[in-house]
Amino acid sequence: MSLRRRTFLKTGATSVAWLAAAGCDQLPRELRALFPPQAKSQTQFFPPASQGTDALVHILNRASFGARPGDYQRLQKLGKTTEEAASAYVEEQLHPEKISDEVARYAARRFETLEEPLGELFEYQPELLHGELMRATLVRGVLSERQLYEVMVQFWSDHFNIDPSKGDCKWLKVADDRDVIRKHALGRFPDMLRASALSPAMLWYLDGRVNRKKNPSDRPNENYARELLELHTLGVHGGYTQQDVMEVARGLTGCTIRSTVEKPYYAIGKVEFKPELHDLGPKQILGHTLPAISADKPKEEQERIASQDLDRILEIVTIHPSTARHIATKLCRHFIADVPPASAIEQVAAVFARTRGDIQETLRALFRRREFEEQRGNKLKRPFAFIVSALRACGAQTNGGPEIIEYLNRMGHAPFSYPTPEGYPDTAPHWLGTLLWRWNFAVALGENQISGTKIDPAELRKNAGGDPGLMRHILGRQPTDGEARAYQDSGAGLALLLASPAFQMC
Amino acid sequence: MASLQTYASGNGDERHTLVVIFLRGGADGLNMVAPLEDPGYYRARPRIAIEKSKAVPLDGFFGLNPLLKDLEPAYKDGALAIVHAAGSEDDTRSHFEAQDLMEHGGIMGGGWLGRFLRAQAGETVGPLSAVALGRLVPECLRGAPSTTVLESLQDFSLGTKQAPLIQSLSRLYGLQAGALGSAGLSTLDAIARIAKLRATTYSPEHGAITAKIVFPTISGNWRGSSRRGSAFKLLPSTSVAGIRTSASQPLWIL
Repeated sequence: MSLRRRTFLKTGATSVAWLAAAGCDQLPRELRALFPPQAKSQTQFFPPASQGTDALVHILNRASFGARPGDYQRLQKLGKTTEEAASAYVEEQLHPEKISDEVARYAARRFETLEEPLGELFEYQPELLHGELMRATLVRGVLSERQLYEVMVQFWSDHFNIDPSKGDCKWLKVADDRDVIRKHALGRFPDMLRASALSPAMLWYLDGRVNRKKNPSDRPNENYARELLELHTLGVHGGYTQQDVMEVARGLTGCTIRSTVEKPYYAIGKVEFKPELHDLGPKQILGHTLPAISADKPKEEQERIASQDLDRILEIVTIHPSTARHIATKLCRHFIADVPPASAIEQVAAVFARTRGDIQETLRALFRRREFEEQRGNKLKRPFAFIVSALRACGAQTNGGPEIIEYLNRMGHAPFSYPTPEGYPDTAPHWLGTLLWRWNFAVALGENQISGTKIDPAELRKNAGGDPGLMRHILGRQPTDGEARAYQDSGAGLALLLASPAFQMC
Repeated sequence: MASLQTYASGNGDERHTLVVIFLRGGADGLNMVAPLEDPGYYRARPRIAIEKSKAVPLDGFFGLNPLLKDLEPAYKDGALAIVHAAGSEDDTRSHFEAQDLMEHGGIMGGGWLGRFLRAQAGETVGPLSAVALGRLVPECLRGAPSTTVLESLQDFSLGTKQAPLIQSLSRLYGLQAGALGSAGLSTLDAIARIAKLRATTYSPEHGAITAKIVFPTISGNWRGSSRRGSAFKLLPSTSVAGIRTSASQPLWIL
């Protein structure tokens, strides 16, 4: 069959038009590939020039994982002064839904298992799921425009820590990351707490799924209740007693997770509340009374009241003043200093309590605190932040590959790998032993020797404005004489800057 | 709780190095250290029980498998302690489940060594506080502050061409006040020490077998299954004794 040229061209044009009309999102991407956007490090940019860390550099260090080439000058336009620009940046970052995030979303698409519905996750090898979760988190940290959101995802992942190596958590943590942490990271704390309490991964990790009262002799499993009070809400000195822990455990009885042996199989992992396994007696928690559920009432009524025990308990612990204090302390420790100033904690806790756990309002208040603005360059970056900030500073393209995960493993800060519920520590002493691996990473990155990751050191240096500009870009300020001399003598340039003490701090 | 803390952190006396070797694979504890005075042992193992006359007596109740005779001097000196019947309750017969149970010290979060190191309140943590030989942090160390993972001494360096870099780092971290500065300097110090170790030749004592330089490796097949009773013949008798050097007196816990 001979194909005439005109027919061929007409068919071709129609198919393209059809594809475009059908909204196939591959097409725009491929067309865009014909006219690649200038990567951030490929144009000239103007790094910060102050003697010390100015307000904009400071906010980039704390509320994001670090400045990329060109970020500083772009954000300067948000305000007449660096303080104004910093405020505007915070406002922008507090509304991630309004920030377009195409690059990160496209880069994370390859980690397909993370989109699988809960029941489907069990089809996959746990090592694959864990690997994709870690890599996606790394890639998003580097590429996302919603930086404060990613910072808070890490914060809450530590706060509501789950070690995937326990039981079914290997599969369920993916759903927890999506439906608990990422859904509410910049939302409302009570919503996140409730999602966590009913998360199948959390029910597995802290034994909530076996907390039941079927027979009169059953004792509740207080594992989750204890961590709920000690770690998630009131804090260890929050003023609760062992009795409170047991009563909370009694109130949380009855949640189960569908397992593989129950039909329909697609519902595996689903959390179900079973009233017949719930403790119907009265409970005394932190001075509040949850009345007994009388067996005289009709069954539906019993079920309704029983299922409300969970919500009632979560409300009690959320509005307890120690919870606001505890969360504020952790936030101030993360964003201000290892030993957070009491005045900051007090004010931030007040906002948390007044807004009933509105995370955006709480962060807004925190970043406005005088204590936050004054304490600059005093927090040691944890290894994940160090690696991500180094990749961002170099304008790196990365697939978050195994080599970087290996560095993180060696430094003991691979995401989602901490064994106990309190999550990775947030103070410097725990991380001071990791310097050698940071230096090795700096050398490898500086020489562009990390597989799956690509930077162009010569381009970067040229676009920053030579050696002085590169130093100002990486350090966020003018180098000291000692730093400048060390840089000249080292012959290693970029690697030295990334390994320098100044870059370990933020 | 206070006494537990003291137990964990000691009374501040001379610091020792703890070497932990996890022999992966199966071993029959009853065949290695037999309960010679327990009639139940002979009833349960009519054919493979170790005869009292052949065993090496230890404490009047237990005795060593004769193939492990070389451990006797260490036991008699008090340098070797044996903790019996502390094995896995896991009955899945899966090596991996059993290994995990051992390395976690039960059904707990993270490794037992990691927990111990975390509980060492007030100890300064340096880059060589906990060193694991291999490619990954082993399960027993998971959760420890600052673990260094090395496959060889070459790992603990910044590469061969990095002398100027090391000098510059030394200058910068020397100028840095506080914990970060001292951590940097102690890391550089450790690098220098290990570079020196790499450069010297090391000859092990007591006839221990080593591979190349410095890291004495324990060669040989450690699998001690009692199926034919002969597996222990492969145990290199010299290397166990050879690890005891005169300089330090490590405490061996089998």
